[in-house]
Amino acid sequence: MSRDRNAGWIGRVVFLFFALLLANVILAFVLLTNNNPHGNWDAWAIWNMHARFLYRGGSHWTALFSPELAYSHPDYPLLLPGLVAGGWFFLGSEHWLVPAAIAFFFEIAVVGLLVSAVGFVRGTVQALLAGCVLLATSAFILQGPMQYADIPLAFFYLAALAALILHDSREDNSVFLLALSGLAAGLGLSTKNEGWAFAAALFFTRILFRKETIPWLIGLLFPALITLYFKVRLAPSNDLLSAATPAHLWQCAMDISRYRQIVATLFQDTIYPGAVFSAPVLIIYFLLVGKNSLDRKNSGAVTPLWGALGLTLTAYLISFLFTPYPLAWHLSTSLDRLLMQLWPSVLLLYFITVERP
Amino acid sequence: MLSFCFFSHFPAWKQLPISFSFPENSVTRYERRFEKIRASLPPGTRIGFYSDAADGSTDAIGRFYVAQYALVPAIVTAPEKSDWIIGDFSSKESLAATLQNKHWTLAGTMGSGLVLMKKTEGAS
Repeated sequence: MSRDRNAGWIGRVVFLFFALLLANVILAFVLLTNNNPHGNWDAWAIWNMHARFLYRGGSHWTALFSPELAYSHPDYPLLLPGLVAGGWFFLGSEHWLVPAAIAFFFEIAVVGLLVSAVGFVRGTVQALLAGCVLLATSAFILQGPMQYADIPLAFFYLAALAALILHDSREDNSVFLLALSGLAAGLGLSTKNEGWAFAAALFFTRILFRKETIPWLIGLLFPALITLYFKVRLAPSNDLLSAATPAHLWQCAMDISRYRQIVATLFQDTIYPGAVFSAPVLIIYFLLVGKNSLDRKNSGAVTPLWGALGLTLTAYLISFLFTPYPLAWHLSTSLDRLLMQLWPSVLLLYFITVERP
Repeated sequence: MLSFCFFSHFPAWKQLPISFSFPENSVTRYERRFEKIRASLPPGTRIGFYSDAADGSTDAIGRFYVAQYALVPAIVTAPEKSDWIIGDFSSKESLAATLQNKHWTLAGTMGSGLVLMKKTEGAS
């Protein structure tokens, strides 16, 4: 942070905005948690219910894989339910505060990690600006208290990218940060199935740009093996993959209206006025201040990471293309959450890529 | 950018509830009614669930899911898959009509509109 040369009155104004927006997010969290202490629909129908099977089930915890519970996606990894159940075991009671506190921790941790990672590379003002945009994102304000796995997953994505950026900006070339990045990507795929797409995209881009991968893979290995064991030995098959027959894939791929519908919803969530993600402000700001021209080392380091995020988003959109569920319903109930997973990482790369004010 | 940030979080506030009934909400209240039943169900038990909400409605699906959430580690199934059924009724008339139409018998009442029902011979 000390390297920042812009800290002056601009810094104080940005800090004031940041503090106000942070207070706003905390207040929103309290109000929404007050209204839904068990979280929103998917929290009690999926994540906290799985946690209850782990906590209450004893030797019967595997009942959560029963076919009757197919609606609760029993193939979802158990990192988040495990954290919640662990909190209950630690407390000795099944208090609603545990999943709420975990949700709060991840929401604040995403902000803290984004601000500190951008701050380390680009200085305080840029870091606080990144924090302001995240804190002002409606989807972020609303999704944190839902107690879903998307914000924790966003945290692991962000941690994986931040560790890579810090690694590439340091002179000592420590393998520790690479392994940490791999570990974060591994914890991501232990949190939600989408994490596999992100880990694969990150691995592919590191190979493509001839970056060091062995320490990264070592970090990834442990959580990936545990999750793989869970997938192969315990979990039932995934609902989207089960429906992926060649006939279904072909029919969906040939249906132009599905592409149009996906792109329209993507724009609706990101570009249109009132969108839950404030992409236009990033475009306008980039046009005003331009690309970071001085810090070529960090700018070069983020190029493969932009590629990884682009590939992950592409994988998400392809999953919608081939969904066996009604497309409009599937998009309306999950696209904003999937975009939220990527949003803090987009802000990290963006505020490293653009010039300082 | 800062003024954009200031205004862009307003849509979120439209969805915020401004009430303090801490920590009471519909899921909390609804699942509290199942506490006694849960205590009497052995882990892994499969039991049917039926409510008088309109078939396929969000209310019916929501009640089914919350019942499952409340009764973990028992497994809540569709009524046709179990001989014993937990019923959730909003009125006595609704309960009586269901017992007659489905040919189920009342095995016990658990208060707050919850009942335990058993299938009779030939019932669906």
